[in-house]
Amino acid sequence: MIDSEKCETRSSRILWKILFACVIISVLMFISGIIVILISGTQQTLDDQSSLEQLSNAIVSLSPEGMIGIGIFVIVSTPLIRLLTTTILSYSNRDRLIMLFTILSFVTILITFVINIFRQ
Amino acid sequence: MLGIGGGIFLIPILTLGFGIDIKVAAATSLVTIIVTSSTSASRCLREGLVNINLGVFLEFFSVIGAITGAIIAFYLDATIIEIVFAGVLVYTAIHMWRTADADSRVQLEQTSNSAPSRFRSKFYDERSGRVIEYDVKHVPRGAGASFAAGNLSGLVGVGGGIVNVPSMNIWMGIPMKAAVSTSNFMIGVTAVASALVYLSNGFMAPIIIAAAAIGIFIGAMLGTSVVPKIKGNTLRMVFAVTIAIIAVLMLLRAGGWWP
Repeated sequence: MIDSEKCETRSSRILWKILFACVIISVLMFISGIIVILISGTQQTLDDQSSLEQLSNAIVSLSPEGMIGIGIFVIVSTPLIRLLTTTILSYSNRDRLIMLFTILSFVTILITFVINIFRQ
Repeated sequence: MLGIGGGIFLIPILTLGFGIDIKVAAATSLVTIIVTSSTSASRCLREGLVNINLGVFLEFFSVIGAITGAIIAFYLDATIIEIVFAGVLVYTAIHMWRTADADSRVQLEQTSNSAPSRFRSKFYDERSGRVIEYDVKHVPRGAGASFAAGNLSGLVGVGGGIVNVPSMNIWMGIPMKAAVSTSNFMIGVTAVASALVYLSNGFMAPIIIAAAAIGIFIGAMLGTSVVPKIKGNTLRMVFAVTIAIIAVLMLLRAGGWWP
């Protein structure tokens, strides 16, 4: 028999570690990217906009903008990672309703993103 | 500390202070809301304050609302978005000013003998030194409020906490600390739904995002450790006055009387 209190504590413990780790990684990438931009003296204006394609190219070339792009990728992925983790935890807790809603949220977000990409 | 993502301050600062386009500001806000949410929620989860089951349930409706709002935002004039946002700020200011005793009212109502819902939960309240048990009421109404919160998120680039927290606290009978913590837990997922729509449409300024995220992270870390020591009533009143001023400035800008 699963102790639901113990499981919730375990769920909280796993989730907070994942969230915090992702935030730390992304913030470090942001700091690194800005420091490199400042040191290299790259000409940038505050509101220079990038498309997803431009950001992907910057990430591949490991430019300062690419370092910031990695940070953006990590932080935007954080809620999705959290949703996946919650799905796994609710599966192990045998909580089908929560697992269903977590999967629905995840799939809805992904479908929306894919539709927007294909609309470009 | 208040269960909101910070977009309510960040967007006016970016648009009024730096002259950034409202849609770029909204995209920036949504990404930084994820930072706020993840930072604050990690601490709230560690302290056992988050009602995970309820948060997961409500955030599905928030996600649907956020996607709807983000799509609508592309077809609306920027001035209309600013007016809507200013209206939201006025509502929030009035609500924050009037809810000083919301927690006392919630705890008085917990003595009812209704059947427990599946979202019943409890947490240890450090300030009072006791375990607070609570049940959740009016779940369908809360789901509707979450949809509205998500809609607002997608429309103006906030996290939706300004709707989530009052609806959870006042309608659903959840103590303020649990409502704030659960809202922190939810708004990251709400924000990512609409953030991906904005980002895939090219409203992304990496340097602004990076700079804002660093500041937001530091603020969230400080906020979760320092602000609990401040009286909630005092903070609410200061918050209410500040956003009322911002609302006036936003309306002036929308009307063309402010640059």
